[in-house]
Amino acid sequence: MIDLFIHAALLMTTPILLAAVGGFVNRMGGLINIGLDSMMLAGALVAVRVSSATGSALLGTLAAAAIGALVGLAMSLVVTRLRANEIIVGLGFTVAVAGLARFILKSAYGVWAIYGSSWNLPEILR
Amino acid sequence: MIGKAVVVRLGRAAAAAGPFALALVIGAVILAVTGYQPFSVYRLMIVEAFGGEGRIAATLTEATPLLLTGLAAAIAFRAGIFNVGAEGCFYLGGIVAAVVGYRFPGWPSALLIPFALVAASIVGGAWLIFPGLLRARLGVDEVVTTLMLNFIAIDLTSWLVDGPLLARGSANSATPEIAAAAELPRLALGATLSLGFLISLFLVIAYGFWSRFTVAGFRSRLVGLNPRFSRAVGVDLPEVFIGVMIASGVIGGLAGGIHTLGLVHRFVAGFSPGYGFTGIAIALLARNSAVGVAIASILFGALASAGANIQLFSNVPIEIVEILKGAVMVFAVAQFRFGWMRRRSAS
Repeated sequence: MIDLFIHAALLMTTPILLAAVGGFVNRMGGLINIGLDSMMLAGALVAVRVSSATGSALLGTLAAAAIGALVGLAMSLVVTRLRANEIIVGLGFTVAVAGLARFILKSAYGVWAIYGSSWNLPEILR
Repeated sequence: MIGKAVVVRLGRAAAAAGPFALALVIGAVILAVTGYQPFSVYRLMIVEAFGGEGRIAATLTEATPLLLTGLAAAIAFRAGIFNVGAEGCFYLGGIVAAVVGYRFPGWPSALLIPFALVAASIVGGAWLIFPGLLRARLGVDEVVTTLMLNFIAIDLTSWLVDGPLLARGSANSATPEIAAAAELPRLALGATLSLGFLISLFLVIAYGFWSRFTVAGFRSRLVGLNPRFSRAVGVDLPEVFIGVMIASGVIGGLAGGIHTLGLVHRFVAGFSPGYGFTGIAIALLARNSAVGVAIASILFGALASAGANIQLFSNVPIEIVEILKGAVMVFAVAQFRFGWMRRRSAS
């Protein structure tokens, strides 16, 4: 019973922990990143696309990290070079990328709810 | 002198239109890359938003909640308070108005409608007292508190309509329909445009006068421009902070109430498709001016009403509207001041 609970807790912790580490890096640099959600969404979409195309979970994960970095670069350029308010830029990125992800699902795959068929990362605990 | 004022005014108009134009360019690139014709999509959107009386009424219906959420954001931003909590107030105001609307079916409209709207406003205002106090007394970042309170309000209301307030025999999470007497009167037959639009427009105009011609309006602008100077000349900063926060919450709650009584006629889970967040984009784009809020709300209302139709008729996903909205938010706060502009503004 308790091991099921721990398993579920670890499973739920993973995305939050990774996002928190991402936000922590920004905090160390003195920035507040409200747009972490947009990076996660972009990463999720690209991971599905790349892993299903290549059949490799590792490549999918790497591609997700790369697109997350790219979104982060775009966000930081707006905040640092154009001196925009980081909170609003973060909210704007969240809205825009969430829209873009659904837009791509609908227009490229004709999927209106969930896009599946990814290659999963190996499970580590059962 | 007049010439210079006109140039300044034109410059401001261009600065406000700039972010929208840039967002349209980004949207066009995304449309082109995904295999649509950007110009024909945009032309279709203009036709769907403004082509004919019925479509204009639909656009203004969509603009109604945005007028108020934009106003809620503008009134706080102007005083330097980044309140992003209008979304939560909108949900709370919506559910309160719905409950009042169906619990007192015997009341006449003249009593029931004001009662429901005032109750919605009070709950919205009360919701933001706490973050206002935290900001004013302890310096707690209001962006984080108001953002998090949104999630609490949204989940609280969705729990309420799933449990205690769920309509009998209803499968989806919704309250019972409000009494007919609680519905805001329609402005035209056959259209969904209600009296709520006029109330919202009136409040935006009132805000314009308040910000320009009253002491409180001047004081809140002063605090927004330079809080340290304001304190030095004797402005009570906590009072202004808490005041605008409550005002912002009241308007957010009223927006939700009007949305219930004027359009939805009940409270459902997922009541707002992000009206509070669109309000932030509107206030930023408008640079907190009343005229700007009115124009930007109608613009975003047009996007929303056109978005639904172009998805029906041309197969372009409605999310193009979200992309434009997000891009506007990003560009509205970006400062495009390059070398030559900086020199000019310095002189």
